Amino acid sequence: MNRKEKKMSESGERHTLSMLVDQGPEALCRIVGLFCAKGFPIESLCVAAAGEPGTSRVTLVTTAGAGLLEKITKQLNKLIDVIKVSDLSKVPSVQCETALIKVQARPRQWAALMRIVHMHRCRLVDAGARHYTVEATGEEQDIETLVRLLRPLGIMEVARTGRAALSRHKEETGIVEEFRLGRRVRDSSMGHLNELRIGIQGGPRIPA
Amino acid sequence: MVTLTGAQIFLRALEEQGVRILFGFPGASVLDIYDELGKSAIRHILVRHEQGAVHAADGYARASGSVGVCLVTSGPGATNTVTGIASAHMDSIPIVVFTGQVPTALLGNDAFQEVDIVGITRSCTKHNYIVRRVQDLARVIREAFFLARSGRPGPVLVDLPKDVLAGTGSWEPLAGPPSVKSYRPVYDPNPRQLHKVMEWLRGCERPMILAGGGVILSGASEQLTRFARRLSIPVATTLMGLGGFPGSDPLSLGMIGMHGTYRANMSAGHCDVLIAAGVRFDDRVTGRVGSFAPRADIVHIDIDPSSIRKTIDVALPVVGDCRKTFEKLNELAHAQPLGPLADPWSGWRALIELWKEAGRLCYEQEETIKPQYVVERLHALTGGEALITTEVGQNQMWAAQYYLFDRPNRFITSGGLGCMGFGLPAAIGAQVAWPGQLVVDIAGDGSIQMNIQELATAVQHGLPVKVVILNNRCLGMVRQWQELFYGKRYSHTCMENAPDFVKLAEAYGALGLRAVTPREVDAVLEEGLGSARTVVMDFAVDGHEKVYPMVPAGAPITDMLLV
Repeated sequence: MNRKEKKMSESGERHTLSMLVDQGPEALCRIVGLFCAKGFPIESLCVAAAGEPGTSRVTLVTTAGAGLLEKITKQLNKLIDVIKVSDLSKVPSVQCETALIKVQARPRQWAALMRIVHMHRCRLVDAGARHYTVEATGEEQDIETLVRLLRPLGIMEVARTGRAALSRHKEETGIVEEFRLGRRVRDSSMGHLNELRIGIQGGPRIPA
Repeated sequence: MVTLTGAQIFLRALEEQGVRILFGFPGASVLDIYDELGKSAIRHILVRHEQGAVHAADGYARASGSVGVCLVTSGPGATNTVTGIASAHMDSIPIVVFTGQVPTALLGNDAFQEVDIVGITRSCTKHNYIVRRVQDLARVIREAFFLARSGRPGPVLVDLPKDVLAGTGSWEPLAGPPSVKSYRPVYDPNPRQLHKVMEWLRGCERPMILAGGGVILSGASEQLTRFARRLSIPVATTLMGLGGFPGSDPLSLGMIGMHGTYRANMSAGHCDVLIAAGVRFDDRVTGRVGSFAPRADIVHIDIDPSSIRKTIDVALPVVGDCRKTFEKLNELAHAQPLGPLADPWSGWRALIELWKEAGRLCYEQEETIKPQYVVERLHALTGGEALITTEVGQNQMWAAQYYLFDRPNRFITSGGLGCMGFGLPAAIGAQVAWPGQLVVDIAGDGSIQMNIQELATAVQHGLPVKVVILNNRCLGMVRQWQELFYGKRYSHTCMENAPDFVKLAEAYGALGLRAVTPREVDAVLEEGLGSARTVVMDFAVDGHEKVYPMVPAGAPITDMLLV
């Protein structure tokens, strides 16, 4: 990374880039290789099969000023197996992240744990003799808050998906009001949001 | 529909793409292809090292304008191609490299001569593939050629596991043009942007055109020349753009950059509109980025959007093919003349004329042969008509400065990667493309030794390439940097114990000639160029000669060392 770029990335903002790519490790390899070779920052990366057969959806969060972001999107567009790139920071979108947090199971901490789980509308998804696993979905900062609150209880392991995001359809923008971690979608008659809820338990964030 | 083996499908698909020449080196993984090769009309040129095959395909592509193709085996055969691929990638040269691979069942097993060449070349190809099923083979080859030659051209690698070549599949002839879902290069420039270009020209006082390799690749030089001459706009070229505008034209500023002409660099420093076409603003062109063309509004024409605003912040981007863009600009210039003045920029050109006088390329021919003199004599004796390839270093810069290129596709050099050992194999490729043409590799004694084994290739295939060695008995360009910037501490730049190039040429079955005094230069050149054989001409040149002008790395290009 040259000095100019470094400066740009430092003074830059976070951008959520959503890409439709050819399915398989090749595309992912090229994207990550590009970021490595050019010194572009990656904050999180989330990849899974997309709706269209043979394609995957990649959601990548990067920090970049306008100049660097232009370079990044141009370079991504140049990759042959990247079909489409969009910057979801510039359009209305739904964005969320899921985390699994494994904490130590100490009987005297049970009440504290349940209070946190209840307050943050997360779920207990696994319990054993020595651990509980909590699942939460929401914005990165909410997940980070949750991790901070759970830390005194003794976190054993954390797995986070990184941000996943989709643009909102224009005609539906504004119907659903903003809701945060744990709050339910008001108008659940909308097909695409229902799908989202099936895919991701808990509540996705819809920015105003 | 017929059933064929993978190797047969491979050759049919190549023939379908119009391939007539294959540069290659056999090995276990590609034996199925070599076994079929005799039944095909495709001519195979057996090289002596796989790097030579890629450079030859590169030289072939640059000289002919069509895709160069090479075929090598797996493992070391594949890794030996990497330097050549990287060079083609930097210079956007359309080549397709086929590498053998171990059978799919052994992939990932560290099998004998297995290497992950797709992984290795991912960042130095335009795209690459591994073919895992014989039914994908024809499609992948069609896509590979399509990607290599379209848009911003570049190298494409196709990895061929042995069982894919040995297996059988159905062959169906090409139904229509290939399409790749996510790949749609933009050829036609936005007319609104072009109107703006004309508007800017109408209002400017000191315009200049900078032509790069994209002008050559897109075949834009005729349209560009027409445009520049119609409006009397001076034209500089980059190293890759040499020949894109006639070098002997009065409007020519010569080459720009680190070893560019005084007038080209000064013009860039003072112009107020710079039309940059098919350039990527390499650091050797711009010098210090912040001081490049500081007074100019820059128009950047390029088919690759990622090239625009990569290093230089341009005011007016034009995404499109250079040839189409200059065609359209010529139409606009024809439809709406610039203004009331017949020649609004005569003062600007007079200033450039002063710079031309003040900073002519020069050297003094003394008792030892000056390398520039050899290139000048070569230019004179060939009437500027030879196809020139170069190695890398001082030889490359003197060739660029003193052999004035009037036509495109005549100057073949490893520009971006700066790859020593490029010139001889590239000359072989160019000679294969143009059997009747005079092809000359301008070399140094250092570079030529990097791929000198290809002399055997040239002799075996009856290719009469001429190698001009500017023999200064050292790595001249590195030595020049040591002299100027490292306190004359010549660390490991003296090539002691160099071979006798005349004897070496003879050992390979080529003709070897030598000139030691200036008086012998013409005689050696005349004899060498007149011969129908592969010739090596060894010129014992002044070892202390340096390439001037020179801009120290990181300085503005107007801060030049002239002598």
